Amino acid sequence: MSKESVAAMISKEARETAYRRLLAQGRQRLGPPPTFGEVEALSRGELSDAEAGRVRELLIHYPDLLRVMTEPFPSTAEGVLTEDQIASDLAKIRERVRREAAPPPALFRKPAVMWLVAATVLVALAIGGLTIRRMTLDPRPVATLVLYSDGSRGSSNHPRGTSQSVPANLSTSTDYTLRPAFSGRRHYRHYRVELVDLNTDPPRPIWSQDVERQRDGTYPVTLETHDLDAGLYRLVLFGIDDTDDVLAQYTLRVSSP
Amino acid sequence: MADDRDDRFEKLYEYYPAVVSLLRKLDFELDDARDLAHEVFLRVFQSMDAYRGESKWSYLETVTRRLAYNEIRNRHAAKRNGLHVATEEILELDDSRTLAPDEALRQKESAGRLYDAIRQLNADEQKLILLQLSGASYEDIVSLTGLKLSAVKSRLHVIRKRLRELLGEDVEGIGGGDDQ
Repeated sequence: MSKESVAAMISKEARETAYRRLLAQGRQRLGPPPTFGEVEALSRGELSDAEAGRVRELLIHYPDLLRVMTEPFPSTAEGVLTEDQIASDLAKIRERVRREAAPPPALFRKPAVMWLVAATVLVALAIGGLTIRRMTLDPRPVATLVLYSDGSRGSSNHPRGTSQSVPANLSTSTDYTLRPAFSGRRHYRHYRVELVDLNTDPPRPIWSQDVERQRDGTYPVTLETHDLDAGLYRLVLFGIDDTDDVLAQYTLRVSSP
Repeated sequence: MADDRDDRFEKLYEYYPAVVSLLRKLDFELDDARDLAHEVFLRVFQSMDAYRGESKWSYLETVTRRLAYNEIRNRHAAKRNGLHVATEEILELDDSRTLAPDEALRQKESAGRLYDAIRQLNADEQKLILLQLSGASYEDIVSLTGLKLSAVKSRLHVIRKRLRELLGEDVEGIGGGDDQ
């Protein structure tokens, strides 16, 4: 090696080439990047040490994904879009909202036949009405209700047949801890429920919430009913990884006292 | 209720340029950034009633990051499945086309030596150096590794010395101290 080359630094270009090789080699060893759910769980401190270490190492090897989580939201966005672009994009979003509200995407992703079958098979529920407790500071009672999916045959404590024809009955005078039951083999990184108002034409999603799978195969969620109109609603359970999959649907009938 | 939803949505829509700007910073082309931002606001609109007060902004940010993350993750999956030519390959192709042959050879040789040198570091040192090479800030490195800032700087300083020993020369852009 000449004296001149010893004095020189390894260039930025060579450094980047080496870096890309290191990333490629690491990715081959470690496999695909973590899911968004895993990264969120990492940031919330919900992973075991071993899992956290694995996710961290993967993120180091997928720096573009790491940046998604660390890049701060810009405080100003001047010059990114013109006023015309902002206005026309709003119009496009509104148009999409209108278009996708009819039919609602969550319900019509499945083939039409599936939808017709599902729509005619009302409903599942087990009124596990299990506990009603009054909150000291909140005069509204809260009831816990186990829901069985539309079309299900019910569980051992739920007689066959009844689950297929009776929606779960809810009252606007009570709030609920709903426990939709679903026992799929596949585990998703995220779960989410969406409440669809069936009283509008077309039906439209009006509320959604992230939920956690419990050991008993239920996904508890609190539903406040005071703003709901009386009528039929459908709770849709989604499993979310790279795609949103509809796992189960539960029909609810809300009545006013 | 619909009017109320519209009003609240319009307030959130004030953040639309910021969402597009963030996506641009994440290297999305402008058209792709706008398409993805449409998706973000569509989802937010559909879920408006579930979110009240301060949590709305937080939800908007979470949805943006989730959709951007999944989009980039899908691109990685497509590369693994051979649907895309890897950017790395394109860059290497470009490098060899724009450099004189002897310069390209020298650069390839330098890159190979640096690659070998970094592989001689221990696992923790390799992670730190990869994070620095990614352009992550010290704060991000601290956040991801759980190390103190002083420890990060100190270890990177040691790594630079070690690489200098192994290579006989410095590496541009690698090091500790306050040079970042």
